[in-house]
Amino acid sequence: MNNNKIKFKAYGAAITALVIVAVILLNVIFGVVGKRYNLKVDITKGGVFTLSNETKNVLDMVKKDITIYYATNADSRNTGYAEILDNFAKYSKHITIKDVNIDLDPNFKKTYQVESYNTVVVECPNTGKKRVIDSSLIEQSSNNSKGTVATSVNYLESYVSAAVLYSISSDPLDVYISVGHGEITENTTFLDHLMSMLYSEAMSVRVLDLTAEQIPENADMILIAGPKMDFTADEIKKVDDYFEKGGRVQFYSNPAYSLPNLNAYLNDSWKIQINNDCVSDDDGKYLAKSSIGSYLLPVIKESDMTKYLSAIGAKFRVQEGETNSIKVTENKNIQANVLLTTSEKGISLTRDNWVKKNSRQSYVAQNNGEQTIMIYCKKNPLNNESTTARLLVCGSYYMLYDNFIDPSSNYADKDLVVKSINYMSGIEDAPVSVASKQVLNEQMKVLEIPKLVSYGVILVAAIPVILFIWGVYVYIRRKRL
Amino acid sequence: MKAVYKRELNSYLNNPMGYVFLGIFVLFFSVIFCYINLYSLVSSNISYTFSYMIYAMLVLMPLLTMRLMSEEKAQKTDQLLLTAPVKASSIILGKFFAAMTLVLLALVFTLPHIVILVIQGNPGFLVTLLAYIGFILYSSVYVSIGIFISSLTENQVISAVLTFAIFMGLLALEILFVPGIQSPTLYKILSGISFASRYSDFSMGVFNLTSLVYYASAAFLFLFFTVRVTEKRRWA
Repeated sequence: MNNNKIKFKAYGAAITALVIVAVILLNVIFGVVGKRYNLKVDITKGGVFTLSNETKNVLDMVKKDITIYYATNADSRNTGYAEILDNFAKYSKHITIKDVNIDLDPNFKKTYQVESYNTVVVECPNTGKKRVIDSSLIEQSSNNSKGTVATSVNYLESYVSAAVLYSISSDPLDVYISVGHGEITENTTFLDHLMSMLYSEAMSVRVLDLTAEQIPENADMILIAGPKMDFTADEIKKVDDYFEKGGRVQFYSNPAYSLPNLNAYLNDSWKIQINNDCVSDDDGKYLAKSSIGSYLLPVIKESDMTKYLSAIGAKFRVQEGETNSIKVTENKNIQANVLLTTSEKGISLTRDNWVKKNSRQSYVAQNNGEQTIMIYCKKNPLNNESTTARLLVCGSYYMLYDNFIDPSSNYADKDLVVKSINYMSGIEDAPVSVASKQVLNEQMKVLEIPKLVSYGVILVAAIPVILFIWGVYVYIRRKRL
Repeated sequence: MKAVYKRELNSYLNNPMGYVFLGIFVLFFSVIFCYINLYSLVSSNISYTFSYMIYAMLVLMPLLTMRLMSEEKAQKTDQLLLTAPVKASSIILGKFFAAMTLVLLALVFTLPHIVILVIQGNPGFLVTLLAYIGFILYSSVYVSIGIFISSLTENQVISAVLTFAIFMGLLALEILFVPGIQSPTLYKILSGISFASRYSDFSMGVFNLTSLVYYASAAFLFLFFTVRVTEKRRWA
């Protein structure tokens, strides 16, 4: 009898041990297989946890080892971020992800100047380059009328892919943003937005005050965004000298202000005339309503610079009326490419007539037909024919407006700006910027208080109370039986 | 198994405890839903509510599972079951599926919440479905642990308190102990076996086969332990 009991116990213990081992093994196998092969299906609407083709293009270029540190602590660790970062390592064998608990590793925090939890550091030991992506950049939320989060956009994939590109590149672009002439970039909100956008595209970005500084030797690009005040002869000389050395400038005009000196220079040196007008379109297909008036939706013209954006059917927007038309006079020394125009029903109006059109009064157009909105020119400077100077002129600074270049925008203004900077700097095959993705937080209509209360009463009170009453009824019925 | 399942389900529905469970479940769910989805985040994603519901289940699950095995012992009806020509695994599975049916029934009462989300927003069908699947899998682990604890004692109160204590212990381990671990390997192992962190895949909208296997095997393991305990009693 005792022998049987011992046998039964031993048999039971052996079976139990076997099952435990089998269960552990099964999970270990799935864990290992899951690390090597994708056993996950991303069913989020925007594919938040699936790498976009643009990111894959960037990762295909990676031939040097890169370490991505996810600096956080256990309380703040965001599994969504970890999931996105894991996808980078799964796609490229050159990428390693390392979790760092900065509470337990203060040296890391100090070395990499990490300021907050959920910061991502991308480092390429081979080039010695690193980029720190602060948590404040990763997810940005827009508030609803109650001041609570309505939607949030995840920029992690976009920032990490740019940082990967930056860390493997031997010489990132140095972009200087002009200030000192009432440019929109003198407003810190616009400047921060533009700088972080360019930064996220693997560029080095600095501010340049032409009224006080010389143009640095390393400047790959100078952005002049909507100046209100004219440039002095001295400042124009600085720009011209920069062109002589093969400089590159993007100029976005401010239709509300006239800049005679700068316009005269552009006309003399580049044969470009920025008209003092307001551009609109009579074809409703090329207009879209907005909270600040209406957008003009320009037509993209085929060129080397825009062919990719044209192929993917990218759409752009500028502010209707707040846009100048541009004219270029043919010159054998200057190669000009029109990039954006209105439709053939485009109109050019004086400001008075634009105000009349906007208030639905009768107006007279000073010029009908296709209006040029953006143009790209290049030429060999007279005194230095071995180099090429490049200039992009856009009739509206709205192309750089904070909402317009937001990565979550449905319009591709940001892509055109980034693509044009890369293209003008000779990086013609630069991958197009990686779009941000909306996180799971699906937006919902904000409920008015009476509706919220009525839903609350039905859900919190009515349904549970019905169930409790039902329970009491069952209890009483059972007692009676 | 069918007979045990029917008997247990009838027992739940002919007993006030089943309705108390359903009522409290819907109450917790509704409060979290109204605060998180309708008021605070204004989001049509139901996973936020489910992410908090897994904490509410710490209290709710012992209510559901405390009597499953211990009541049989206390009333000596286990003698009938153990001597009946039914496999121990059939008895346990019958009880397990009956408890899971009650969880599913409780989830049926959350459909009005989804209707509100559809009226006010645009919840993704697949994301919503995945949140429900994840929650059902998570509950299945809790139910299997609850049945196992219930099989160890004949006192329902002890069973409930012990189940609650174990759930709390697991949660405390995940929240208090794991974060302080210095070794990255140990941290990865322990956070990998955490029930709550596995749920994050489902709440994010990612169907992860590894997490599904993990939940299914954890539930299987505790059901197996319960079968072993029952077998032991049968042949004791």
